[in-house]
Amino acid sequence: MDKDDLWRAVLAQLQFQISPANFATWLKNTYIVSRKDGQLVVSVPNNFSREWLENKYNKAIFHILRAIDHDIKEVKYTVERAAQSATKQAPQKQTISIRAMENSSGQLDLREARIDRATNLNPRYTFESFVVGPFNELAHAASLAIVKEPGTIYNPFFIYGGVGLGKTHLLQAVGNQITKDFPDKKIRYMTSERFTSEVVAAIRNHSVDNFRGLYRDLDILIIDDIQFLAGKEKTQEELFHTFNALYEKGHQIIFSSDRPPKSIPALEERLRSRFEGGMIADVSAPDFETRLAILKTKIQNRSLTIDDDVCEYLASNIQRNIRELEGALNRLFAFYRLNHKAPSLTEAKSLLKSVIQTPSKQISSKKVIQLVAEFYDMQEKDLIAASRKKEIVRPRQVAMYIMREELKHSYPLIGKKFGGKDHTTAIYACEKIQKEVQESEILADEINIIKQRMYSG
Amino acid sequence: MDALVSKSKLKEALAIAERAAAKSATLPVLSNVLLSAEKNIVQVSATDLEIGLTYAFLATTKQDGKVVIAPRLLSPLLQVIATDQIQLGREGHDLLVEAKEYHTSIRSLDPEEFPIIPSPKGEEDRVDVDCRVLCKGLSHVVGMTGQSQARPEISGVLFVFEKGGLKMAATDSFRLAEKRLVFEKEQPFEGSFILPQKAARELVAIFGELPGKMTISLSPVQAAFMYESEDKASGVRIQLVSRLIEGEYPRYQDIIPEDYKTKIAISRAEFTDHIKAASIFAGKTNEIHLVIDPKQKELVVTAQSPEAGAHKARLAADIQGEYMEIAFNWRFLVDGLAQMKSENAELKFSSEEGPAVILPMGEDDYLYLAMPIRA
Repeated sequence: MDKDDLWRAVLAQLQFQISPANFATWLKNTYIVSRKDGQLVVSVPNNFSREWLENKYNKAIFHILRAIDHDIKEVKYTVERAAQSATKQAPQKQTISIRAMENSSGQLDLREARIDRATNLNPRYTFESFVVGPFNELAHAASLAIVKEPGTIYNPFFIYGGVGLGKTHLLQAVGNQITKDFPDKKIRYMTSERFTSEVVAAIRNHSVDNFRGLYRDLDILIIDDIQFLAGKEKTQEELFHTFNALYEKGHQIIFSSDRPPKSIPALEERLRSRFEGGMIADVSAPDFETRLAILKTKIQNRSLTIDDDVCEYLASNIQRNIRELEGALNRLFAFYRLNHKAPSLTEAKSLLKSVIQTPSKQISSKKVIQLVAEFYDMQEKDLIAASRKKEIVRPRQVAMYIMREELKHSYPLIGKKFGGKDHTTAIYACEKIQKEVQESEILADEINIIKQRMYSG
Repeated sequence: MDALVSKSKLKEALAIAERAAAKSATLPVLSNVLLSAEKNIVQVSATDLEIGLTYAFLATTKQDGKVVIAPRLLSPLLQVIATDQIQLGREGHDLLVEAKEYHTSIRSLDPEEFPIIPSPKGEEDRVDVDCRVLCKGLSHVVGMTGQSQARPEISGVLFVFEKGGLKMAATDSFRLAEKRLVFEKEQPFEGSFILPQKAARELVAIFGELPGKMTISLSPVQAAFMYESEDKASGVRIQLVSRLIEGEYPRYQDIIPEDYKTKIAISRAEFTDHIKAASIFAGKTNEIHLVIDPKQKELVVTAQSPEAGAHKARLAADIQGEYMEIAFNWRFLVDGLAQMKSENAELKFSSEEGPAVILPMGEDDYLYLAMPIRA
């Protein structure tokens, strides 16, 4: 029985022994952290819960545990600092909306103080702090070329790639470098959300002319996360005209998005073709060495010493997202500030448990089938059924391919999951899709989107 | 339970502990206080599971015991009892209060249901500070903490301990206050933590007037503030424990500007009055405008709103630097000025849309920073 099941079994029995109010108060957000040589460590959210469990329920908990597993000799309770922050990521959206409300009255806040108001650029992002690896070489090289001669070589420049891989960093670095090298050039960095709200405000205040004037006067326009313009027709129209005006004058335009222009839904054809008219570069997930290099740079910037084995542990366990890497580092940094010593490997492991362990366990083959079925808008049971209709076979092969690539399932197991198909069917499917992915960008994007949903949900 | 206690001590203990009691639908026991007698010490505690308060004092105990009672029943009773000695006992499960002609039993909940307040175990980092100095300093920054749940890390007060002193800072992202204390002698602990706003407020309210020192015990998740009365005979010991806020406090030093366009020296009281006068006309946005004119050597405070009218006042000031027009939420200015004692204040402006710094003239232990309103 694994840790989670064991604790669920304990809770299931305990709920009959104590009152519901007590159960809700003291056992909320508890879980087993580790189990070693008969010693079980249970994480509780705060010191109050720890005292209570240690003094009041320990006997009951221990009895239940012993009844399930005789090897357990001792139960310990610990308050984990990391436990809380993992759940804190959700309110992100809220922050933005609250801030937007506060700012509508014009009250400036401190957080924006570091950001240059005319350009919206954050000076923190520079080329010097950007780590280059094989996965972002092209985008980086193109950015450097743009900085040397804005508006001439790659115009427009379009960067795309997954969440937290450095698109914004690169975009802002271009802006900052140009501000430095060509101080008289007018630069503006916008998120597409802000661009949209400016369009809306301009329409409401009957100041569309001012708005157009402001943008068409720019030398360099940078818009981040352009995929959010999907479905916003009026904003797209304004962007289209702005784009044309700037492009005609040979002024540099830079966009970023989480997917290539082709895969942005509800984007007008004329905008799409313009995005594709310049240079498109992608940033993908960094390899191990680059992740390590990124970590080292960040550590150096903060004048912090962290052991190499801790760095390697981080780099090998957090693979998809540089922002997550930074978050993990922040946690270590907080530990360092509090204890005035660098965390050891064991300490780092326990500090980072919630960051590192969660993603891998959530994905099951069932989830893959569900996501693929959802993506291609069909029933899950059709995917598993024996039908050989073309519109079903293709998604089924995609699902098999993802199971092989992402979950590392064996071919016979994959066959079994799809209604007892032969392992050769699975092999054929995976090879076929693998080949097609290289040839067809559309398919590659489809698979990427499914993967993103898989890891983000 | 069988104990002979001083009424005034018990009254004080209840009044203090009660501050931590909370109304909770899921755990009604939290609205009560735990009264316990053990080895000649009577102790009253309460908690809302965020902070815990304990007040202990000496008493003659013949038999140990515990009860959980509603403070709203016992406190008013103590108001009317004239004698200073009262006898506490048990009647069944309930608390028996006896004093001269009074014989009262107060309903008690099961003491086993009362949460155990986590006390420091002795292995934590410890710092000794002067109680009054700490609370006074804290009171100057605690009002500037953020209220939004969305950014928990600024919803508390940052404490930074260094060998020679202590820095306390709070910000709600529109303004920021920093207070620096210098220790008379160096202490070994160095480190920082974020104390939730509620705990900070209680700290000021409860410990603010107490003479002597306070011991702070720190573990990664919790801080305990302990005060022991210097008068050993009373044996009064007050302890506040609070969880700490997790997260990294923003690096606020970065936002304090280094270069200023305009500087003013001004009478603090006069300036405050002028702002308050202008505030009457500031309207819903609380917006007032400052026009700083170095040529005329004057500061003009104006405010207007369609509902109220318009206001304009001139104030002579010592001005260095450039002409500037800048708008503020008047509350943010008054809040900062009110924390200072000095006769004059120094105002420094970096730009129309950048932070403004207010300093007490002649004192360098306090800094207040406010963001303007975009014109």
